[in-house]
Amino acid sequence: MFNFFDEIKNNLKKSDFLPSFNLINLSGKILYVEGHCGLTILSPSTIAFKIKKGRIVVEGENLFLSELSQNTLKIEGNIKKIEEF
Amino acid sequence: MKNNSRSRFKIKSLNQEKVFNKIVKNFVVYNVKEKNGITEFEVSYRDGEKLEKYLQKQNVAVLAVRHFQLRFKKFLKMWGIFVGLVLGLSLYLLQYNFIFKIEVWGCENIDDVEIETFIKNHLNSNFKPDIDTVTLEKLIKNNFEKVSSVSVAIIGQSLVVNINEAVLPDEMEGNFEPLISQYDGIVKQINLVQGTINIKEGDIVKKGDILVFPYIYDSDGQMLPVQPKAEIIADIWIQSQDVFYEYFVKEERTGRKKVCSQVSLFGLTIYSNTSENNFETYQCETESSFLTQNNILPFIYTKYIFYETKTIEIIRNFEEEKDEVIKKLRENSLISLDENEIIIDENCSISGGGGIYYLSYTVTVEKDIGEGYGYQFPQS
Repeated sequence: MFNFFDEIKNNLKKSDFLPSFNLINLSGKILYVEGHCGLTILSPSTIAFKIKKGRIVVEGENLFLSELSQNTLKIEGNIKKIEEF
Repeated sequence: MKNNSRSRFKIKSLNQEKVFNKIVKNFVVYNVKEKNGITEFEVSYRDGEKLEKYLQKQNVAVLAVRHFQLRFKKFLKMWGIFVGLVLGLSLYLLQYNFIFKIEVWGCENIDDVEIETFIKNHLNSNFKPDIDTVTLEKLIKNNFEKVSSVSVAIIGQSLVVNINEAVLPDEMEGNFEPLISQYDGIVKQINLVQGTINIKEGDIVKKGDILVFPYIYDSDGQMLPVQPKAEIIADIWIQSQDVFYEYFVKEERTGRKKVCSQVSLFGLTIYSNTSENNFETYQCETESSFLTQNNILPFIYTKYIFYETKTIEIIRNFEEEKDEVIKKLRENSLISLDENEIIIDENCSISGGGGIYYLSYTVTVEKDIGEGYGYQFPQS
């Protein structure tokens, strides 16, 4: 099955610097995440989750998780900031 | 979540993030919203009950659980009913295109069974679109003379045949048999209604004589069949006869009898119980029956009963018994009369002699010997 992210990684041939997670931000309304390692904060203004080598914090308004599985999640709302720690 | 069948949970936990990290190991959750420490989320309906039990095990405070499922989907799970309904509906729609019954209405003088059989023989199939009602109407009209008009219609799953019978004029109706006298007598008055008269006033008619022929001749000399009708008033004679013997011999049973029996098979006597018959004169009665109920061996049991008889001489005097004999003859004659018939005359004739007398008692009554064909004469 075709995977967009795998295809990009294979073309770059530099997998060592690539992070183990993928984020797609759609117009600041939807954030799709692959490769999360668990939620850390869940509130309407902040959603944070762990990744392999750190943590990502998403800030905004009226945020909620429209989908959550073991390693993917989808955040909907007015996304204002995405930070990696 | 595309599927509308879901379970919605409302939970309260100090570390809800940890709870979700545990839940997602086994379930996928949707629409996770947190507000004032209370978190709402949804899972698929299929996982709802499992997750509820899981949360109870994890000691998570579940504030509310609601399971949403489309009624139609629930219904779809009842495969038996669903398949039955679909099959039933299909069969109903299929069979609705056929007729199963033929109803014939309006038959009084025509045999409806005959028409029903006729239609069955002329139906190519019971499939509604194949039935041509107009052709059927024409066929019935052409094949049944007594049908004046007919309509054939398909109503529901019945083929309804509505018939109007033709009304024949009175003179054409009925059987064209001649009017025959049922009595002996003398004709006094004739009022002919239709037909050709064969008698005239003053004629003596006997039982079986033709009174009116069942036809007329028109002005062209052509014979037209009609039902004969006439009022024929006649003095009819009702007679009783007897013969009186002053001397005669009669055989009478004495009361003694003898019974013999025998069993036979295919005409051969198997067993016989006969004793000597000493009666000089006797009468014999025989009774036969099968000894067994089956027909494998048809043993026939025959019983002979011999009744001893004696001969008696009877000597009577005619003059002494004449009145009694005449009275009996009169009674016999009167029995033949209809109710309320007026007796015009009655007489008794005696002939013979030498110990043998012939008696005839005659009652004369006035009667319409042309009646009985349903014609009612107007009251004068």
